[in-house]
Amino acid sequence: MRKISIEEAKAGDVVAEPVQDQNGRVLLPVGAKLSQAVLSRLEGWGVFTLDIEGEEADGAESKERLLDALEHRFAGLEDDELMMQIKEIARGHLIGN
Amino acid sequence: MVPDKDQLRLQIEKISNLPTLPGIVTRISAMVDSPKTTGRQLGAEIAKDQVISAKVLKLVNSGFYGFSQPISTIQHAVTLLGFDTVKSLVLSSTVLDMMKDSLPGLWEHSIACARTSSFLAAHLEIDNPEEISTAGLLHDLGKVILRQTMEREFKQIVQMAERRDVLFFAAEKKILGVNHGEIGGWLLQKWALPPKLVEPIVDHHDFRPNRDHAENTAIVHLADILSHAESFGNGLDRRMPPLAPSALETLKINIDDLRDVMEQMNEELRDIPRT
Repeated sequence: MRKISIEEAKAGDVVAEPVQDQNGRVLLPVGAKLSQAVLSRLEGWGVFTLDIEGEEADGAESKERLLDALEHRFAGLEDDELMMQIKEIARGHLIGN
Repeated sequence: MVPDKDQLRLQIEKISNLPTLPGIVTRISAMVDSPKTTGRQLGAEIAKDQVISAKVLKLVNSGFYGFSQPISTIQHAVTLLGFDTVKSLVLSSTVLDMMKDSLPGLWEHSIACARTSSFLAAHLEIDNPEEISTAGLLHDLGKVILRQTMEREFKQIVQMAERRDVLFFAAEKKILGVNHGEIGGWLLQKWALPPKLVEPIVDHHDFRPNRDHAENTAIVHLADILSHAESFGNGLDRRMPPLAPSALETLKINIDDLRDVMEQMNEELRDIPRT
């Protein structure tokens, strides 16, 4: 089982923990398969994370994803010398781990 | 249309008893504020609730307060940490539960920010860093409150942040006219937590060097940014919050100090998943 955000969820993923709304009403039971129609509604239901079946992405894949997210976070700050120094330190840590 | 700020504050204050907030938080809060309460009475009241007691002890021993010896009883925690810190711990242990299921990555981000706050406090040789760590832990409380109390506006904010690729607090400002720091602060003030704990939470995206508790605020401001930089959670933010250079001036530190703290994060926060 792994926890993912709804942006990472895709059609065909299988729900591993019941998806509930704020009042505890079950929206999707364990074993439900996500469809495109359901995916487009999750945010409207106030659901932002899901537990789905399957293992964590392997190390190389998740490192790649973290490095991409780092680039995105700092995009537009290229002229800020301090922020660029912070980014490089953080990048070194991601690559080294 | 941006709602009226006073109206919004009233709306938040009305929900000072959030559905998930147990009565013990209010009771402890009242006891701490009464000059007649003794440490023994306070400890006994907390110890009555075994679930809260266990959570508080877990939190005290979780590493971000940096005690060298384990604290095994509530009474010991009360003696060692003082009333205000214990009050904020009872609150934190409850709020952390709310955070766990509230927003993706918020729990990880909050723990990372709390521990980074304590690294910075230790680096600066500040006494009694518990309050700063607690402020770090609760800095995004306003996001949890927003999600729980203003679902419609919350969704609009999430969508705007995502579609326009802007920071969460920028979207909040646009839609509500206030950010989650101020919103969290309203509730903490209602709970009568001390200003040196509340101010860093209110101002964590709006550092001003002339405020009363600028040093604490600068620490939480930087710990938040370093936690984002080191990929510890996001609480729905995919962009870096802007860093106020005056926060570095207030603390008299530079990039070399930040590098040391980031090295420490990289070594000691291995138990927190990067997201």
